[in-house]
Amino acid sequence: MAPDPDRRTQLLRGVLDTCLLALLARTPTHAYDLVVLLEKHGVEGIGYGTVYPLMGRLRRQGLVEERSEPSPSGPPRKVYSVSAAGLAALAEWAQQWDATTSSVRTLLATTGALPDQEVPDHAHA
Amino acid sequence: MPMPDTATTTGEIESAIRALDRELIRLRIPRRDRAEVVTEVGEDLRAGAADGLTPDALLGDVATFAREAVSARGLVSRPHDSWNGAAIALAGGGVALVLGYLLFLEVLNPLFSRWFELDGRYPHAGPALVYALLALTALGVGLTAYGRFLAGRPAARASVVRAAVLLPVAAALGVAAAIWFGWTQDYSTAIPVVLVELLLVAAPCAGALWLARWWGLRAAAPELSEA
Repeated sequence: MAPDPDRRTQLLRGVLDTCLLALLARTPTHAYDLVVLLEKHGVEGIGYGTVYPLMGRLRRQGLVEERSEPSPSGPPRKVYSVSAAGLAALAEWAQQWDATTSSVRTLLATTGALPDQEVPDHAHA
Repeated sequence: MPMPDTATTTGEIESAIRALDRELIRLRIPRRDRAEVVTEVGEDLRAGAADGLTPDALLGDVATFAREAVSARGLVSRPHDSWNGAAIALAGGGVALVLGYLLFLEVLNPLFSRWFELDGRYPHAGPALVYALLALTALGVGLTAYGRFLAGRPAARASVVRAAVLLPVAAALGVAAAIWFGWTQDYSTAIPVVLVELLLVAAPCAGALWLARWWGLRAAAPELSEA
């Protein structure tokens, strides 16, 4: 069966806020640049139409802060950065993601769906 | 991300921004929030254009994009109820005024006149007191009707508080204008003259109630967007 890009996009959407916080924690930037950065990191299929509203939600939740930055091409642009609450959320969500993917990977390997994966001893118990 | 076949022009970007602005207006988003979204997206569209991306490729369906942006940011649509609230308050106040007039001057006054034989010395403040009481009744009932209409709507309390300040001032100015107009017409009771007098009172009251709603929504906007 051919890979389903929509399924991958759906999977990514659930963790997109974590990805955006991680990118912003490294480099404060604009909403459009985040789309470019996601692509550069191999997270494709997530468009500006998804990222921009999500940034609005993160800002409303207080996880992201914004400041104006002079723009050579027009009016000052808003640059997003991660707030202190955002950093705490990022740490928690990254751990959640790691635990979740680890469990799923173990399950898939144990059941033979991922034959070449290393399976921890406790998974066979 | 889909790559466009042709280079993005400034015209395409401006057209997309206008379409987004129209959509936000249709969603009744206040001007300040609208301007913020349009400016941000405009800058991102320009940045995308530098990479060869069209506004269509970035935004997709503008209506969907606007809806999602509004919802995610927690922006609050300005309710379309300013004139309805004013109409209900004026109707309530008007009915209270008419009923109060009938009660005081057409029922109680003749009744008391028949029951009591006064000695001809009447307090001058009497009629003024009755009319002041009538005005207060109309204002009270009008504001109560306004408050009940707005109950459960965004910024209801802020709007009613402002109406309580603005409405008496507007009513006083309107009554003064109506008295002046009546004086210029020799206090005629012809229907067109009375209608103009009513309009001179009702118009500033309606304007004050509209202003109170606008002001209340504007003042409460930050709290509403956090809700």
